Amino acid sequence: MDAVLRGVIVYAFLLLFFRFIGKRSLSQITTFDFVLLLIIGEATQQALLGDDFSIVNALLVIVTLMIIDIGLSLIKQRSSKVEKLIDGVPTILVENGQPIDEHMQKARIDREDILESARELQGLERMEQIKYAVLERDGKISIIPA
Amino acid sequence: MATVQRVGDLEISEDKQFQQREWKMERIGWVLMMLLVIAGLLGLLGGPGLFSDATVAAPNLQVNYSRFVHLLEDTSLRLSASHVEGEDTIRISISNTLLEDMRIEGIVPEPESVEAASDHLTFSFQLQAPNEEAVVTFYLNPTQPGTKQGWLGIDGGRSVELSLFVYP
Repeated sequence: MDAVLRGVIVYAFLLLFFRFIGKRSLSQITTFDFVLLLIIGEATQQALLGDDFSIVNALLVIVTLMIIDIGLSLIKQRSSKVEKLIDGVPTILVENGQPIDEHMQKARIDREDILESARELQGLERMEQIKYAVLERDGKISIIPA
Repeated sequence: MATVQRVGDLEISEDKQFQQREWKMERIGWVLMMLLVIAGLLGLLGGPGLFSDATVAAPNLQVNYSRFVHLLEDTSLRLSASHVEGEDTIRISISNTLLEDMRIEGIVPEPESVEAASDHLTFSFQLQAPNEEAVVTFYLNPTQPGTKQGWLGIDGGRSVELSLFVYP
């Protein structure tokens, strides 16, 4: 019982806190975002497993997390409202070469981040070559060239 | 399945209203997380800290302990007691309500003897000289989350009430 409860509580907390931290950190723009994820993983492990290192406990925790994940994906399929709540929505950052400052500021993305993605993904050189830049739900910036 | 809307040339499920609300919630979330950290620094979430360190006292007895503790994490009860009479042993009683679901990891110094009663345990300690003040530390490890309340007293003196909360 304990393992299932731990799984549910930790999943709920992580979901909430990752929504608070925003999409930007998830996309691992900087090296430290990556380190942060590693550290969160380490800290979570303790809370998930407690001091019970048996295989049964690990099995129960893993299955619990998977079932929550499957359950949520089923609910998300049926309700777009829940899907938005859990996954968020994509945000347009650049439209026809024009950066939308309000969106960029709120999402904590600067021009440099967009240009970096443009170079990496499309080999673009300047902002005006970007038709659309979208901050996707997973925090990655996708670029559609003009 | 809702049809995907179009923004410009993009087929994208952008939702500006939702996005604005999300950003607002995000910022509220930051404040909540900040409050959590502050609560942690102040000791409200367990461990040592301003609001966790507690002292209860009665004549001849003083107890220092942590009000907020963590499950399966050692905590200590530190007693300073002085005897009323001219005897060279000191007897400390602790109610069972305080000790149940607590693993006693150690008592420093070791008691001479322990006696069990229906609602409490009595620990006897030898004093080096009569009327000497004794400092005794109980190292405890809570095995169940929740609130614990109970009393603690020395023979011939008033007892003190204490309560602590065990975070899961």
